[in-house]
Amino acid sequence: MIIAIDTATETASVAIAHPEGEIAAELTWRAGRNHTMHVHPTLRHVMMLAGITKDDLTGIVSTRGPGSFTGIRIGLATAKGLAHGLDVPIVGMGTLATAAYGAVHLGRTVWSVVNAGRGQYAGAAYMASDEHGVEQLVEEAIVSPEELVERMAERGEECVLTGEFSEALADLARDGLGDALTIAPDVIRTRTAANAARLGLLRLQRGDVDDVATLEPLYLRPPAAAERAEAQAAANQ
Amino acid sequence: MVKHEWSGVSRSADETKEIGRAIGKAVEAGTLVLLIGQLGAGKTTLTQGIADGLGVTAYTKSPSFVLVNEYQGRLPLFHMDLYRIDDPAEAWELGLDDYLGSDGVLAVEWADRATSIFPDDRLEIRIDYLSDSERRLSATASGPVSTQALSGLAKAVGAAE
Repeated sequence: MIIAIDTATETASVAIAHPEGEIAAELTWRAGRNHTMHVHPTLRHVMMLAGITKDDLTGIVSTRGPGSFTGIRIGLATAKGLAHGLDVPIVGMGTLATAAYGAVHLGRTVWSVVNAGRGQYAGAAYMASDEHGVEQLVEEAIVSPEELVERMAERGEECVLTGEFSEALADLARDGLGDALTIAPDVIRTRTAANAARLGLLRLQRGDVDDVATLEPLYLRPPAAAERAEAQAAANQ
Repeated sequence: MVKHEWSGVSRSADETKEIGRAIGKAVEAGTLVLLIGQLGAGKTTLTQGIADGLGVTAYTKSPSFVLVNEYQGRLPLFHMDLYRIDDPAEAWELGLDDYLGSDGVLAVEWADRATSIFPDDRLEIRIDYLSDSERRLSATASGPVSTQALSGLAKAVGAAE
């Protein structure tokens, strides 16, 4: 059995999947900032619901960002601890790819975003792939709402916007893209650990696994913050 | 950008705490307070006052060794200490933006180690030694949220000298 952990944003989710892909149990909740308090009891609970113990686990999947720093770290550290302790393979999945997977069946380019703080978004674009579940078309980047809509419009194609975003971004995208845009409805918009498990299983089945020691969080730093920090580091020396 | 300033002299740790209390009562969600001053200047004392003004009951030591502490008052207070960081980027990796984007108040000690990565709207408080017990506190606000906190401080403690 596979366990998938996703605590990358204020929405958190854990799931248990059979190696063939069937989901045995999933719990998704609004964790706020309380991932640390919630994640371990929830893992125990989801294993109980699936009728398994930790010794039944044969693989671990975790989202690795982008998202909240604290959230990403808690999920990945928990997943790494399990993988290392149980000596089973681990796979790190992109948060945006996981969110996009819920919408790629619509047959269009899916733009997947999460809040990156300070009014910006982390965004990337995906399409459906038989082999990998999703294929990345545009790499993850931190952008302002205006830049994001520009990038979406530049591709000149019908697209879907999914993930975690404000109504203001939805309005901006509607204005910029008109009929070419579909806002993913709530039923497919919530990022779930079940989808992380499904994507992760495709990699586990191919033997495309990560190294538990070197798998890193995907923190995307806003370009302005990075530049200013580098300038100060240089000045400090 | 218009900057608002206040400065005053504290004659004891108790007075420093009282100034903190005035800030704690005035702050709204999303306020960023940067604290700058040497070891022993009173940054933690000031933060204890802020916590008290926010109605936090269980407090607190300098978080130098845990980097971030979280307290529950009228608003959540996040108390961050950058004493041990070498590179400003490390502050960012502590999840700075998680706290900035939250519904709480973020107070950062040794903020001068990473001034460049903080947003502009911040209440910057510099604490300078005048004597063993006396300190000069100089506060600068540079945005709507921090100005609100500064006005509350000035109103409670007295006009700028």
